Amino acid sequence: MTELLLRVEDLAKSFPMRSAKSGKSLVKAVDGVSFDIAAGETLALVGESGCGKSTTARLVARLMQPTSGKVLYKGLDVTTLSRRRMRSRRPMVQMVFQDPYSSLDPRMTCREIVAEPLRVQGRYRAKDRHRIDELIERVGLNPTFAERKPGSMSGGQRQRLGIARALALEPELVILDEPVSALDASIQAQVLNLLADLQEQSGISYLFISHDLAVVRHLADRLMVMYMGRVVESGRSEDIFANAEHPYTQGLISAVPLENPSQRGARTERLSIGEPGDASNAPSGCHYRTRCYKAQDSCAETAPTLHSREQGVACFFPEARGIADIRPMHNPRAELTLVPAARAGDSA
Amino acid sequence: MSPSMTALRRPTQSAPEIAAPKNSDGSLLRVENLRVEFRTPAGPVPAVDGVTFDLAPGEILGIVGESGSGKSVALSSIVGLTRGEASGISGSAHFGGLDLITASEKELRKVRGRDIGMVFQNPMTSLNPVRTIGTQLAEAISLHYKGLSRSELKDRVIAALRQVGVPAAEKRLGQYAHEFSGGMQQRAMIAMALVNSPRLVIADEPTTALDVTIQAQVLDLLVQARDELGASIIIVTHDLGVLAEIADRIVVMYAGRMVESGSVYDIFDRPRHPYTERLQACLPSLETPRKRLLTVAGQAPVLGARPSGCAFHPRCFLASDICFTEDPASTTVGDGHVASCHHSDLMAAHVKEDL
Repeated sequence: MTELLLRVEDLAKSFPMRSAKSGKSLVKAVDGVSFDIAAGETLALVGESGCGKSTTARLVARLMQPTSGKVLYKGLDVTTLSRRRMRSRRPMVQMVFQDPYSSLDPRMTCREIVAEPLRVQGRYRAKDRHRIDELIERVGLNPTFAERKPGSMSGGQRQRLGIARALALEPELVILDEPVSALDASIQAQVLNLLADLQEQSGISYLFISHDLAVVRHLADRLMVMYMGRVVESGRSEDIFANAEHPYTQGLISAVPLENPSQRGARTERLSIGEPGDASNAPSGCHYRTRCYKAQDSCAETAPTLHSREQGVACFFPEARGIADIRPMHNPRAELTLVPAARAGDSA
Repeated sequence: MSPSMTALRRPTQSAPEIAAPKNSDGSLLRVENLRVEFRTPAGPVPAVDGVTFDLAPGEILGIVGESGSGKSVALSSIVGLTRGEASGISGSAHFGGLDLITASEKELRKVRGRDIGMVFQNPMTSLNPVRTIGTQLAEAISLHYKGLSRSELKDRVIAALRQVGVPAAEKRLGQYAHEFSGGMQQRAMIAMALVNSPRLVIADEPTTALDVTIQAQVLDLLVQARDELGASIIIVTHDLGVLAEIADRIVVMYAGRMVESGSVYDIFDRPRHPYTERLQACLPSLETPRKRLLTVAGQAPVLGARPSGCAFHPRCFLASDICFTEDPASTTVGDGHVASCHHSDLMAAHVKEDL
């Protein structure tokens, strides 16, 4: 077993809400989330907007104080640390944000941006300048960028800079909050490759947050699917893609765009319907039951639970379905060997 | 699937038709040699250069390219949204006999919102934050159809919201944009685009800000609008995956120009421009994951810094001497399939090998 870097235990965060009708209430943004991340591993946290994945990330980075639960960095619970003591632990966990336009100070040069974490830690020395410039190069930016300001940079270049800043303190875990969803498809691939390379070189761990399973599939060792604040399925990435058991996971898989127009004819009904309801008014029992194709009356009574933190599914009626059971597949090689003459689907 | 869209057909008290149902050649929209340049202190910068395509009634056309490729500028110029002192627009865009490029602002105002519906990328900034969703939808109707009673208007607004899958439409029309989720805002935008049963819907990155689950539903809605209302659709996106879902034909743009166009099968299965092939190859695949994705190396040129010869040569895996100096002409490489590449023959062989 590799070294355990991060352990999250029964993490919860509620926000107070005021509404005209019901007066004061609490919204459970994160509700009993537990997971581990080992050294060198990538855990992907997947779900739609509002499912609590970004809140979880902020709690893990302690940008926010949890309502209850623990976040342990190498065995030390950081949720109770004072600001000063927390600062000394920060270098271990760093974060890359979704929007590279609003997360970089437009008045600072690239070099200043990447050096800022060192300055905050009181560790910046003149000789570090060389290392900062190396870092800028390491994320694939031209060294001449060091003197420039982010205003003149493209989205992909800015995100590379955000990654360089996150690496400045040599963290062991980097939290990536939708790091490529604001980028062009062509640039997404570059940034995903960069992240894979950095991990291979330095053995860094990632907590990767995304709503797109196709992106996640390339990077994740393990997968955790969240819905309305709760984990509904978790396990090894390969296992989940081979056998997705929760109807919600299956819905996310069915929503990924087709890979080739020839698959349109074979399209089965989408498993992802509607959109997440209002978190302040979550359905009783299983939160997902209002969108679920397998829901029974009993799903409204009690909430299904996840049996283990490593793998499991929080559903009363799980049924394993692989990608090929959920959506038409496109595999030119297989198609050529199986149907040599006509293209499958043309005759239909 | 959402309820049938038939209730969105045009109101009976239809105003006199501004545009004919189609052009004399049978197309709904025919864009020829569209060129848009922006005047900057450093001189004029061409953002769109020589875009030509036509769109049949009921057809879904995808325009794909990276940021800065000119795809959005081309689209907004067609409906007159880039007019101004700082821009120069030439070429033509015939829509039902009317040339949208030379049409007066008054003529355009009659066509926009009625014959042409528009969906933009960011619904939060496209919807008015201080007016209710219902008021905005009602305005979209009454601007073009005078003399509808309040209750007729309200019925149509409710029908429009319902048909794009907004639950409890009667209640929600009194709400403001900020009370809608991102997905619901985009549905409201689409309701507004469809409310007058337009012949053409132009959608600029309509799903880019949305979750994949909602993206899938929004794409289904657009296909439904085509199937049930007979609308033609132009969808602009940076993501070829979206077009695999819905497009009939695809135009690929790079650095302001069209580099390839053809049927959706030409583009996906028989690309003849290296850029098209790369745009597809760089998409992460759910079916066949790999640790390293293929990429389009480097990045798109910025406006006004167009590389010599073929603009794509600095990023191209097939580039040879001629690509540095000579701009490739667009060549017909198949039925309705056009590519601008010196090595489109090599591409044909390359794609075969790959299979």
